[in-house]
Amino acid sequence: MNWTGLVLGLFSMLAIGLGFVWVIRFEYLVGAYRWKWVLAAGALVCALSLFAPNFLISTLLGITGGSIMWGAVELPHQEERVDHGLFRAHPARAGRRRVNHGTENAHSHGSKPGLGKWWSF
Amino acid sequence: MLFGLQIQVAGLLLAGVTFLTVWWGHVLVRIVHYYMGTRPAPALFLAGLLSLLATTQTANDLLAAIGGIVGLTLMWDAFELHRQEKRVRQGHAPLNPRVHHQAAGIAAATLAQSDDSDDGENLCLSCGSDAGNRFLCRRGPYCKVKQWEHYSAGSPVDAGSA
Repeated sequence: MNWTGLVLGLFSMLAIGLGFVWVIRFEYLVGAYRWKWVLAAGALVCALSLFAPNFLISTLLGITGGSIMWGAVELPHQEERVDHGLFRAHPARAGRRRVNHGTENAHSHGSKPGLGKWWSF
Repeated sequence: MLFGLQIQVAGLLLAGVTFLTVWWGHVLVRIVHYYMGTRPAPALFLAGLLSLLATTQTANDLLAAIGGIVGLTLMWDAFELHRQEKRVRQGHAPLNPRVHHQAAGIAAATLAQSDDSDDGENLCLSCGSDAGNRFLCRRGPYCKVKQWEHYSAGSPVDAGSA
């Protein structure tokens, strides 16, 4: 009986579930335009995992870093959701810098109706 | 070995696996729900469960970790198919009338109830947005209701004050 998969699977689910929360909070409190900083932070955690003392700590750091990097690319989408009124907007949000400009890339799945690009999320 | 340190590659590998699984999980939910609706949800859940159970029988820790992450993500995606159904009914995700019969019926009923004579101006036929309700729209800039020029670089966004 190998518990590694179960434990790490549960941990990754926890990390992703927490991602839902902190992406919403980060967009609200800081702003999605800082997404590249978050991406860098995630990459840093991934790099740290290389120097972990053992397998388990390395994998935990790696999963955390991977989900942080995912959250970073999710931030522009969160900005879009706030634009459309699905989430609360910060009172000072109108004065902040933005990720999405113009109408060309305003929608993550492209500007035409339908499914859009297969890889879009 | 690097500068006398033992390098753990497993973490970096699992970071990539986590990132790709979450990404392709999103893609899977979008595409599967568009073409098949929520029907494959139990199959997805079972596939995830089987993958998770299979990891308990492997001797390789790295393989077990990958299987665990993929398995639990698949189980999550089974529930996500039902959340996607909700998004389609609210007009946030694309509707496939050949698959999403109920959602299409709801959308048609909503359209029939609204007595707008000038549909082109006040009601988006794709997302159902009108002057009072703004939904995520799959028509993008073609949606006349959403006033997409609000989001252009020059003008400040009114999302906070709306």
